[in-house]
Amino acid sequence: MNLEEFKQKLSNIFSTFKKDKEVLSVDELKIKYLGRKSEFVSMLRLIGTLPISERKEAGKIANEFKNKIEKLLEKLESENNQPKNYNLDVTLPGKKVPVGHMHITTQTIREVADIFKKLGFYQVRYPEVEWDYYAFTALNFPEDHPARDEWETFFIDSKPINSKYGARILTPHTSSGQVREMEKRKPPIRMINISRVYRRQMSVRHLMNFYQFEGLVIDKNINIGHLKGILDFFVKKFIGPDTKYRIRPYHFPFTEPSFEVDVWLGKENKMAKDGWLEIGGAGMVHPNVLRAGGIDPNEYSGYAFGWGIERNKLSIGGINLEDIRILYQTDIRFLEQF
Amino acid sequence: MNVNIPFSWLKEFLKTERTAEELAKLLPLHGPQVEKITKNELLNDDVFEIEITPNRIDMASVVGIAREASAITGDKFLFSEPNLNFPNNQKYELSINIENTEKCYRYCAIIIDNVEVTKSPTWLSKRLEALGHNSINLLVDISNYVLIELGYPTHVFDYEKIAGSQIIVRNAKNGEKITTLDGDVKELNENDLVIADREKPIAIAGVKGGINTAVDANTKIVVIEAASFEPYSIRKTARRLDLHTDAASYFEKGLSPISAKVASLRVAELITQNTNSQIASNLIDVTTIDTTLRKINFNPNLNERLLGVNITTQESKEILEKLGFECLINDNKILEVTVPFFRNDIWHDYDLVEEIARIYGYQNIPSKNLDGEIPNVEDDEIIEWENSVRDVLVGCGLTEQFSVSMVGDKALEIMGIEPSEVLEIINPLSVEYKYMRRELISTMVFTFKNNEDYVEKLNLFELNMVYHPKENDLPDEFPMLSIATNGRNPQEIFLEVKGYLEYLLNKFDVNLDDLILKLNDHLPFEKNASADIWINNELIGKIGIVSDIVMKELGLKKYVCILEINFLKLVNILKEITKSFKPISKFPPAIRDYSFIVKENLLWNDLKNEVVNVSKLITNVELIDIYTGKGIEKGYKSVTLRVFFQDPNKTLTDEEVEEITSKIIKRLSDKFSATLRT
Repeated sequence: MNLEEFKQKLSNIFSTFKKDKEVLSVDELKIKYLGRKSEFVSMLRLIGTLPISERKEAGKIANEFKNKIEKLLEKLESENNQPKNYNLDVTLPGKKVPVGHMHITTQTIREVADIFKKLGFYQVRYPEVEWDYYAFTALNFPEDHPARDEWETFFIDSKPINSKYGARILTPHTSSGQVREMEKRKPPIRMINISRVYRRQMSVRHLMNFYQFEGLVIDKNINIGHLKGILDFFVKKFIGPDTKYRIRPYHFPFTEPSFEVDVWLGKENKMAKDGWLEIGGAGMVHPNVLRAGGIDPNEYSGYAFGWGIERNKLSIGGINLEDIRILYQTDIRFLEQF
Repeated sequence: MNVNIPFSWLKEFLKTERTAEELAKLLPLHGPQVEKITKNELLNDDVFEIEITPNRIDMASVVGIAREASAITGDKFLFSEPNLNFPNNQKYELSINIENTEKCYRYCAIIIDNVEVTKSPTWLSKRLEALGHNSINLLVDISNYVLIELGYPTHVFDYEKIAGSQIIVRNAKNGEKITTLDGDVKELNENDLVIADREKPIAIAGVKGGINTAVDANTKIVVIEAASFEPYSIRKTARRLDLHTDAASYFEKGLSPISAKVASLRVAELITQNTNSQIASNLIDVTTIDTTLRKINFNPNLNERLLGVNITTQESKEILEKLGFECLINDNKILEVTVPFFRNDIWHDYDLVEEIARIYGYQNIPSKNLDGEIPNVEDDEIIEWENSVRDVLVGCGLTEQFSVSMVGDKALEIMGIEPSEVLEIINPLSVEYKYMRRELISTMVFTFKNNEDYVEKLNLFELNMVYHPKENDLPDEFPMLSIATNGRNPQEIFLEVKGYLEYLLNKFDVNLDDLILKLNDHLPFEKNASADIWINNELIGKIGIVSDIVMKELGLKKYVCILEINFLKLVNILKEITKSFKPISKFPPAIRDYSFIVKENLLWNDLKNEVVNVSKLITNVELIDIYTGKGIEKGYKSVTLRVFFQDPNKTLTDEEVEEITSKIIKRLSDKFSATLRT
């Protein structure tokens, strides 16, 4: 046999392959044309009988032939591939992964903290069981003044147990953190204190413990304009971009001037009074409070605001919670809704 | 305190064309907090309900609101002092002696004779009734009417019942008794101030009149009293005697002695106008304190400093004058301000800034951004950790609860806590809430009790404060973490809760080999079903299954497993974790599962440690299954474990793994008489 005959032979095999591929399966074709007993394999053995000068060329041709067949077989295989049947029911419910729920109070605390952190505030927390001194005296509440009644306080001691700090109470407001913060560091101060506070009250609108957040800014040249700037930012972020608010003069012993802030929620809102929701108090820090914190009121000025977490959140969001006592009643059917 | 002001009455003192709605919208922006307007049927009039802050008792009257509204709106204030004709000679004798001049600042009295104690005319009784006062008789009604109109309490005595025609303002004697107008007998002490005659107390000063000198159908001659008292003393007496009268609530907030005179004149005017009676004395007036008006020097630069807007000296002067202040501008553009007598809340220059600001209008002050240096202060570290831990726990399917900080005796009882170990509130809202809690476990127990009928399975956590008392000091107040679940198999729920703990620790890269649970009994858990939780030789909390006794007592149907961890201790451990890169082996591990039959009481930890110690090439041992029952002898169990073999430098051959396997089998056989299950 010479190279020409070798070529011819392979070409003949390819012709029969083309006919066979219409009738045989891929596996059968593989065995017949490339298997150990195939004509092709026996031809490979014949290469050794060719003249030495032609063997290399013959090997190359044989390889090309093999590649060609393999490619065609691959193609056939992919064309003929039958789908496997997994019996998949895509409408079955997904496997249950337990869903955890963060308490709405936690969610709101974080929401508030995040708003203020954008403005360079840092978050702190001060004692809930507090000295009368920090909750009242240092905040410029006169001794035994009727103003103290408005705060409806829980007491631990019936009389002072410390000559400077007085009796222990459950703090009725986060404002008790003001003088503590001033004692801790010098201005500039930009604190947001979010803590649990206590009032001697319990109704559909009042909780005996709830959370407040207190902002305190002390620096040189701070004025009410800056406080209004913060208000603009906060009400827009917390309630909505078009929120209107108003400032009403009010009285707090620890701020001067003092006022309350109302936001407009619309007449149909049940939690609001005539459309206005009172979100909390604010004002310029009273000089006596600055002095109690060791800060010279002639050098520095500051503002403070203290607002409730839960009631404000529940009033604005369309949550429709008319009895807020459920917040602390650990009823899973409530907790799982948030 | 709130006051109700009929619009028509207000208009007697305020010349205004505005509607009630217009006023209600405008006033709150500058001062009086109009909460709502209601239509009153009886008067056919709008009535404003206005909140009065404790510093502005001067506004708690029709005239007070009219004065304030006039300053805000510019509408004319119409009030003028009554002009009465006093007789030339004193027809009746009345001596006034103020013994305690510290507590009584002034005493004004006017005697009127030929009075008739009749019913009030309709216009008067209607106004009172519309505002919630019963009409009693003309004299009492007039006193009430003047209180509403002028905001000053007065009293009317029957002159002929005053023994010795003497009025003495003195301290009560300890044990002295008085029967009030309502018929209640009150026992007084030396801290109470009384109005007395020669023989007996006839009124509790500033609080309530006595029945012994009350006007009645036969009264012909009366004494009108308008006095001024030290506020704190009034407040103390009213509280102690539980007599929260209108008079006391006004006096305790500090009324100006100057107003007393006008009040007495107005009562006298109304009595003489409405009966055929005559004024039968001079204005008897004893004053014990200096009533000179306060002066404050005011530099209007303070406006700019606190408000951020420049309000000039002239503008400041105009605003203050509208509010009744007298102002002089001196050479340095400083205002010399005289505070009107009725304003007991204005003492300093910054108080004046507030007056100017509110009339100027907060809405007219422009907003500014903070432009100062941003403080270089980190957030409270514990709060940050709380946020991270909450995220992890919620992420693995736990629901967060918030509970009230206070607990009652029941919680102490199931926890075995003595009352001395908790902080007690002296004025709790109810006994269920009288202690500050020192743990979260009892609250969790109650949560499961309250919820188990509604949900099949509860996976809960709470991360909130607890309070550990310290003598004569504030308590240790720190966050506690509790995780809990319920179910029908104690071992299973125990492992679920432990699983949450391990997941949490894993998340923060704590090596779980450092977590050790040691059996230790704690209430409210079942004996031998609770353990201390140790990490790195630090005791950080406990875990256990709620005891049968507590379950029966509360009617709990399913087992509850609760864990409690001191969050500060946990944070201290998490803070110390540093992450470093460990080289990744290029060679795959060989993994083999074995089942051993061992004694039923063999602890997993002991078994595992033995296996780990067999060879350095064993990198991990995991529990696959524990089986007892068919095919396993009683008192024994089959433990299936999965062992990971890995050499950092090469792929282990089957022969090498077989060699270690034989060692494992031998070691467990020697140590625990364990046999390989085939």
